[in-house]
Amino acid sequence: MKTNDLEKTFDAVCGNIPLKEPRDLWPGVSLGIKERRQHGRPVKTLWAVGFSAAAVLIVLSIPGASESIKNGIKKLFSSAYSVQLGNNAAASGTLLSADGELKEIRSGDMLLEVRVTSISQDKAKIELSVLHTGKQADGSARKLMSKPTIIVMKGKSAEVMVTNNQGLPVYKLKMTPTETDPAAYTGTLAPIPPVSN
Amino acid sequence: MDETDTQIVDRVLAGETDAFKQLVSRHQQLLYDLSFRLTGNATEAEDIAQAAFIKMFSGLSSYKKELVFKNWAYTITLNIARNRLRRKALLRFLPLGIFSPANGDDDIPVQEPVETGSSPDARLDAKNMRFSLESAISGLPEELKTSFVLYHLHKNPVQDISETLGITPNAASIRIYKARERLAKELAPKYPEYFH
Repeated sequence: MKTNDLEKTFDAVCGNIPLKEPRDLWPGVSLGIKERRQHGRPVKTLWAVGFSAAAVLIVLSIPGASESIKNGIKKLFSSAYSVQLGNNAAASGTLLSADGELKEIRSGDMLLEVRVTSISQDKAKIELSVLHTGKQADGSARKLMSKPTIIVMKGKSAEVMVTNNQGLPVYKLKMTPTETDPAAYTGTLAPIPPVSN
Repeated sequence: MDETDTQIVDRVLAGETDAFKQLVSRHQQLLYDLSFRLTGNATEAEDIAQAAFIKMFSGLSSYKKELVFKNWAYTITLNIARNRLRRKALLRFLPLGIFSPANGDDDIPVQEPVETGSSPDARLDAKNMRFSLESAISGLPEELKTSFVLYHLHKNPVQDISETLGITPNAASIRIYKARERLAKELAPKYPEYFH
């Protein structure tokens, strides 16, 4: 029997097979959803909403690998930054870090972990972790919100999208390092307005 | 014009939780039917379909709208069903006669289709053929069974099946083809008028 004939035959004979009819599943589903809520499952969802709603504006300015230390073994990064969360006052300062050293910037409940690593003469890598601190519903002390990493080509603009846990873009990190410029390694992390569907 | 699944999802995500009931109502039969054909057990199938809907609700925020909602729902249901089958090792030990008229379809009454214009003998023959076919389908390996059910019983296009199963359209077509070959081989001796 040819394949096409067999397909037609099964189309015909399967047409007589009714689909199994369940009873209304909604009451059970509804109950299951309520039980999940009571057990604190929607924390993730609340987080997404809370984090999206918070108008977080992070301005990270990294003037660059200022100089080599003795014998060029280590590089120092001098990074001016400012962090603003919602209507809170902006926190700003200068972050001095050795090559690859993890530094923390705090603003309110938010904690930024920044690691600047020199990759080559032309490139630097910036790893950023955005965390919410304080007692979490699941008992932990902090919750990682996003962790973008960006490889920066000196003299060229680069950007990385930061999404919330719904997969929607929330922040865009832009960096334009210029080695010769005293104000090199500037970057901004700005919120993207939610897209209305 | 009917509201699309995506529009309903948007309403649920906006806080209209009860709108999810519409999604349950729309898709419960397909998900239940698939679960039933995989497990051969009405209670288990109902449980799987319910668990799938609860999981969908919890993960609705991660639903990517470029996917067809039905395919996403199928995928979640299949994952739950497969996990349970694996756990209970039902997959290998499913009795072939679970769809036989003697056992019925568990406690769920199924309305029999009436073939009008045919003789009682012909109707009986068609009914027997149907039961034999359902029994043969239940004996297929899970991979082939799922593809066959989604294509021939649920009338999904190959493209959607490939999306649901995470395989290429070609691979989905091959699975459907293999399932047909196996079923025809099994049913041909008893029903030569169908599979000559």
